[in-house]
Amino acid sequence: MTREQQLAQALIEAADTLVDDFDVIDFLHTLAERCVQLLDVEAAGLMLADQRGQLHATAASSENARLLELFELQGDAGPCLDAYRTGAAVVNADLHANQERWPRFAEAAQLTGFVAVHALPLRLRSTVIGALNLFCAGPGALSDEDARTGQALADVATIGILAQRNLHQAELLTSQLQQALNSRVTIEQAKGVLAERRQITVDEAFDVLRSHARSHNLRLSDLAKDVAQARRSDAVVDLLRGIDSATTQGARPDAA
Amino acid sequence: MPSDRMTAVLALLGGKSSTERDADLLPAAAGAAAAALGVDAVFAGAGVGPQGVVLAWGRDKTSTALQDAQFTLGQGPGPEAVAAGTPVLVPDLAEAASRWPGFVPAAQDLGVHAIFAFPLRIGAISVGVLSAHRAIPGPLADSQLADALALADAVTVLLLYRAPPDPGRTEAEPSAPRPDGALPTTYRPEVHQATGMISVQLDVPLAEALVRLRAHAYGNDRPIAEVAADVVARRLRFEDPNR
Repeated sequence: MTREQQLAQALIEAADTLVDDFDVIDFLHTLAERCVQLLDVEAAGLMLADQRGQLHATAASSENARLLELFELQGDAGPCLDAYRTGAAVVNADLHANQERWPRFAEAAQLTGFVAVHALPLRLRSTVIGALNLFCAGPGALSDEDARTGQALADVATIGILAQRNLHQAELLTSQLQQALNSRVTIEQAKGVLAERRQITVDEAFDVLRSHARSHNLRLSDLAKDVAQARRSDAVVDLLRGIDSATTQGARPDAA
Repeated sequence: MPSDRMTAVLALLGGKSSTERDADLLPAAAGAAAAALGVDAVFAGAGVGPQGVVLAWGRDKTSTALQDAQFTLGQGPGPEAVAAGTPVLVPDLAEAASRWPGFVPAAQDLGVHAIFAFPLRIGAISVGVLSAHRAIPGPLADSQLADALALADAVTVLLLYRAPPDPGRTEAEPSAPRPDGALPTTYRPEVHQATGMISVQLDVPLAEALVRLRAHAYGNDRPIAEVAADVVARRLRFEDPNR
């Protein structure tokens, strides 16, 4: 796909948020993956603010513990927090040069192999609800075009989060944000259950969970909730047993 | 950020001196919370689902009657907040008559015209619902909404210790020490991941797994995130000594 086609694809996915079985975390995860494909960056993630103004990692291009850690470190100081507080984009921030501005974050991000970061605010009119974080491993600045595309993707994310209906009400915004943040917590709990049941890492657990949801046409959040609450649906049983999703399309091999 | 008034209420609820669970949800704090939210009263029901809801906080007459009406009729903002997993805000009950045909007249008879319900949950853990009501219709201000969410967060932790035990299991020790004041919204992802892992290790529901994780952190005087990281890295396992 060309870049334009990919961007169009991201917008179509956003439009899909208007359907009933839309899953916000799954959507944001896809969007983060799109950022990596479309922009000259190695990793991407989205952080959303709760009612206390604290930012939480909500989705990332790869569910990698080291990457998630980089989001968490921004609780005190980091580009996402700056973008969230000021509502302005932080573009082409050299990590070495920003050692003093974001001491813990800059150090950890460099240790992970990144040299520059960007943070683009997720805005709904005058309200900032979070930030899109982009990480670069090599030198070279984000072009103006990339920055614009990035902001377009950030805007798409905002649309996805707020989905549906009447965006005028602050209370609805709050509800949608609460819902997204709580879904994320459910997914973390499910990752833990799955990791322990299958004896895999929590990073692997996310990929397993997500591909299982896809192949069974389930919402990621619904499957995560069932896994976390130990509800014994067929899909959950297969997932916990480690039955490859490809083999479950027809009769379950263990059903005989 | 919570307002100063709500911050004072939260401090009252999160007081670290007490080890008595029943002392946690101080009745006086309910009054102070209502004042901070600009409502007549607040109440919290513990438990969800068919086993019913126990009024755990705010035992004034109107709140008790509202709780009873919602439970008996099986409808209203409380049950809907639990089912939907999102806050249900009803600034004017008169406009919700068709939504809850049984509940609305019952509430109006009690002199209640605005009601706001907040699900109490941590991911897939659901412990109950917090409600606020007022005789005079009108929405919550944005700052009051933020306060209500912060309050819901604090009450969730306190009710976690009262979650009905799984049938056939012993409840967590009633005198279990209160862990640190960290609230679920401040938890790092590892805490939730570790909760899931511990629930498998001990074969207990998530709520109990989280209680055990918090108790372990408290008992060993370590931050919960640090203990959770050990669990996720498989440096620490929770084992049930009775197995």
